[in-house]
Amino acid sequence: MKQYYYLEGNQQLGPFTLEELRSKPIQPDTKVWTQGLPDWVAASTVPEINEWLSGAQIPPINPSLPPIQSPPSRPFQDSYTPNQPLGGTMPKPKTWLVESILVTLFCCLPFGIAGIVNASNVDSRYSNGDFAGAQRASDEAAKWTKVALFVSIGFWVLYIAAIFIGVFSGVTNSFF
Amino acid sequence: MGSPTLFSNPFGRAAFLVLLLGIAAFCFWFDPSEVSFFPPCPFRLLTGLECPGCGSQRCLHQLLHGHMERAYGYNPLMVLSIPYVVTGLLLEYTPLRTKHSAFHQRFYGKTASRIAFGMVVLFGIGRNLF
Repeated sequence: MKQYYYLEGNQQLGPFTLEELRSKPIQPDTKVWTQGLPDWVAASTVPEINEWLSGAQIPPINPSLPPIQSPPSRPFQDSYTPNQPLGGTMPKPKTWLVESILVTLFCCLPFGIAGIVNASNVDSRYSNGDFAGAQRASDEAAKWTKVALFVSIGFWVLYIAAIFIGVFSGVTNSFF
Repeated sequence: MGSPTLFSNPFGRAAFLVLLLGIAAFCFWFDPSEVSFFPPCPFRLLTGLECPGCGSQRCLHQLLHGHMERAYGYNPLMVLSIPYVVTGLLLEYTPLRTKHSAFHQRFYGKTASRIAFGMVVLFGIGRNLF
């Protein structure tokens, strides 16, 4: 079940289910947040909320009912919430170390070395808290591993195919 | 975001596995040291020096036939790295990844990367000197 939070002034309220949220004084410009959003956004930009916002069913604000409040500390263990510093919960990006070693051994020294160096960068940047940098290094390593893989398999298959075509044409030429 | 695997869709993964099996079968049936249609190492062709991966086709042929000693003769680094590579692939692509995540972290860590880098470079230099 997805859980939603919204801001009233500077106060964070929630978590609510989507159903509970319907009874809250949500306006199209109310800041809301749910799992998967990078930051607080206007309620009208969240499709499932906008659905009933645009239906002109805005419930009356009832000040006599105080909103249910829960401690804002770490509502989800496995995700980022805007109140929580980004870190600790973010998984380490894939380092591609073993794939890079295989690439080095099977074909392309330069690409493989590029992969291994980037694998090392992923881990050191990750442990320094540079998550974006770690992700970049991981993407680089993935890129070089894939380039090497496709270049080498392509070269290998084409080379052998060319030899066999050459042999075959040699055989047919001797017959005709 | 980098994809967790080489191919995100199952069809691509299956095609890739079939291709790898095909190449392995080809390397099993033909001995690269006896037939001439296996591609040479471009690095060796250009420089005359052996790269850390030179001999891997002949090595793979011997490995697939279970001849460890002859395989070692063609490319020692490849034979020695088998335990690490197999463990690494199991850790990455099977449920072991979540079961032993701390070990996975260390296994793919910066120290491991540096050791791998050092071994590849030392082996590449050493095999041309001795």
